[in-house]
Amino acid sequence: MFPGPELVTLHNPSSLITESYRVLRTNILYSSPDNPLKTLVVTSPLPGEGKTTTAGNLAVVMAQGGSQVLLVDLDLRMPSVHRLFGISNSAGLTNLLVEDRSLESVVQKDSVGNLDILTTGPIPPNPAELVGSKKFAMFIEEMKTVYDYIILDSSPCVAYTDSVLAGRISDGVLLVISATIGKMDAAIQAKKNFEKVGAKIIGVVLNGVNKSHLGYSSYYYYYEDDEQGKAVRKKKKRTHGRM
Amino acid sequence: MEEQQQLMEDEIDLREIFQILRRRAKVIIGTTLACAVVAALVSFFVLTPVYEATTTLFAGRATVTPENVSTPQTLQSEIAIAKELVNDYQEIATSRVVLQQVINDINLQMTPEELSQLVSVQLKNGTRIIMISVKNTDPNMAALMANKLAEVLINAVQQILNVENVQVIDAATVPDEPVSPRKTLNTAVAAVVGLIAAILLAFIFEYFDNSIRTPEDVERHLGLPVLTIIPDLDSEGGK
Amino acid sequence: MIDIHCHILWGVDDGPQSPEETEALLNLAKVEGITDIIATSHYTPYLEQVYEKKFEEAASMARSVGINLYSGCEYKIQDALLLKDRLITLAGSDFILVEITSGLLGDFVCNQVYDLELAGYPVILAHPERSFVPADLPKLRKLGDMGVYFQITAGSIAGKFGKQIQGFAFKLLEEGLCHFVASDAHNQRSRAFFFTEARSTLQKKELMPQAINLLFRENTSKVLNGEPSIKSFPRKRAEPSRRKLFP
Repeated sequence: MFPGPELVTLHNPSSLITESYRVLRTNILYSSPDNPLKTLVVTSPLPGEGKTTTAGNLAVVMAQGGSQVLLVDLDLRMPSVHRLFGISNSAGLTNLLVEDRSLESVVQKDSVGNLDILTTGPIPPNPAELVGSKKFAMFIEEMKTVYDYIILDSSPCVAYTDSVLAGRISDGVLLVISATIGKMDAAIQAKKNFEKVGAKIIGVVLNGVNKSHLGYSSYYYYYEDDEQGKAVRKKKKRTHGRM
Repeated sequence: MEEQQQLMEDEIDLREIFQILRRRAKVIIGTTLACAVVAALVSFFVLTPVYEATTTLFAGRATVTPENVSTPQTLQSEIAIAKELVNDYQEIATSRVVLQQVINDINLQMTPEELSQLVSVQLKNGTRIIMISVKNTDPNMAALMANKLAEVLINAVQQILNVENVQVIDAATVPDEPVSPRKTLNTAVAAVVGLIAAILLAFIFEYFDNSIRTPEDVERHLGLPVLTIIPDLDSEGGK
Repeated sequence: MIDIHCHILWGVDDGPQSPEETEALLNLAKVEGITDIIATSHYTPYLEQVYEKKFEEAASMARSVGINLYSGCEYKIQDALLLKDRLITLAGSDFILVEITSGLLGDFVCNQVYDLELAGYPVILAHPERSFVPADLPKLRKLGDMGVYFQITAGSIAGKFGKQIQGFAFKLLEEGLCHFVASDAHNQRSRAFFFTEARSTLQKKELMPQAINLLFRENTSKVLNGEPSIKSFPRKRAEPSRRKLFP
């Protein structure tokens, strides 16, 4: 297993970015205290906004927090979870659904412990059909009995319906938007797509925000060197605007 | 409580305006500078400077003798009369006859109508002083024309009105500085106009801006809560 | 005076890195007239491991200078929620010191705070004037209504972090969103105690002596004694609060 550098939560547990993912985890858990959230679709309006990175890191921090997590690569058009974690994609979800393979035979365990990863497997000719199938819905229901959280990394949701279909049978949707390439009209369209099927977008992850837009007043954050417990302080200047 | 909320939102809008200005600062400053520079260049290098020479005349009595020296009482009426006369002198100075004379005498290549565009005859208020100003791109020519016009006027007045009433106080000197173009004024006005246009443009761009940059953008235009921000520290790739 | 937010333990966070630095900080506190300090270093798993040892070392050093040291910790809210069963409270009371670092104040934060309070920990929010901006006031008011306590940094009041933060600190004071003033001291230079300066700034702003006392002594001593009844800082009453006619 050779996790890619984007998995900051694995490589650098005390970095500011890992902190951001922990905040995300906490805020997801507390976004709807009445309805406990077990299945979460992670998607973005456009491709390349960072949804797989977010899904992967979120899965890691959730597992690190002690929960049993299943990360499913539901992007059956351009799967990338296997690349993110540096694992093979020879078998995965599509085998399970089409060939009736068992979960144990296709799922992979991550070094974190508590984190299981289900890659896509061979890319099907009909992704939307698979995601919208009864079989998939039943599979998700079954997984809810085994895992605390199921994170579904899905295809971009403006061009494709897969995420919307998945959102319909999930507890919530997380919209990952890039502050550099994100477009408002695409995001608004994404929101509408989910609203139409009654899926609940619990919130947005804003990815790649420029430092000058962060409005911390002399906000001090620190990195920690684990071995020595020494701290290196980094000071951010106050700018207008808020984080 | 709601009032406070309202005030809060107005405050936010003010901050937003500043944010927008800051974001587009480069464009705004650039445009303003560009306008100012263009105006300056045009004023300094393109537009032809125009000079104005002025001859000052006194339209009163030619000679003062014990008999016709002015007393306080007579001075008032003299001024009134002079005022009337001066209006005549103005007209005479710009009459075709006079102007044609000037043109002939110094061989100007223009018609009386064209010359009259360059000539301005003014009476200093409350006095009997007439100022004849002539504009020309050549400062020497301007002075020459002003003095010549004064000379012709004096003769004309003598002939027409049979008065030796007008005399030169200050002959026109060759002007050093042009009266137009007003370079600093042009540049300043261009800068101000450029600034206003640039700011307007900035807000227009903002209005049509489709990008998403801050959590406010998300909350305001999308109406969804931001659950976390992943900062762009080095280069975090996206997938 | 009592300082309820101070990074005095050495070698555990971005505060003092050596015993000498801690000693210097303690001497500085003495000069400012601080008699009691609650050690609130940033929570890390490492801190949890070495806490007892580090605290004892610092406490004995403090004793020799005549300052009482009490245990405590500054938690990021997401960590506090994870460790609900074993949080290091302030001076053995139920109070916990929490900071919200992301600058995000959604409804989820209210749920998180509520969760902590349900678990029996009244929440003191550290330096809101530095974590947030005036635009966040409505949400901070909501937290205040929920019973969250606010701790403003003395340095912010004294203008050590700039005019904007100072202005925001004053605004929070006006709104009654301040129950404690503490130092958040990390070092002797840029982040020292600044108690004296803060007090004089408040005096110049014509704050009543009782109010200043409330922020520096009265409420803080209640934390030491474990008394739950923290008094609210008197709100500037311009006009009577409006009743909503239509709910």
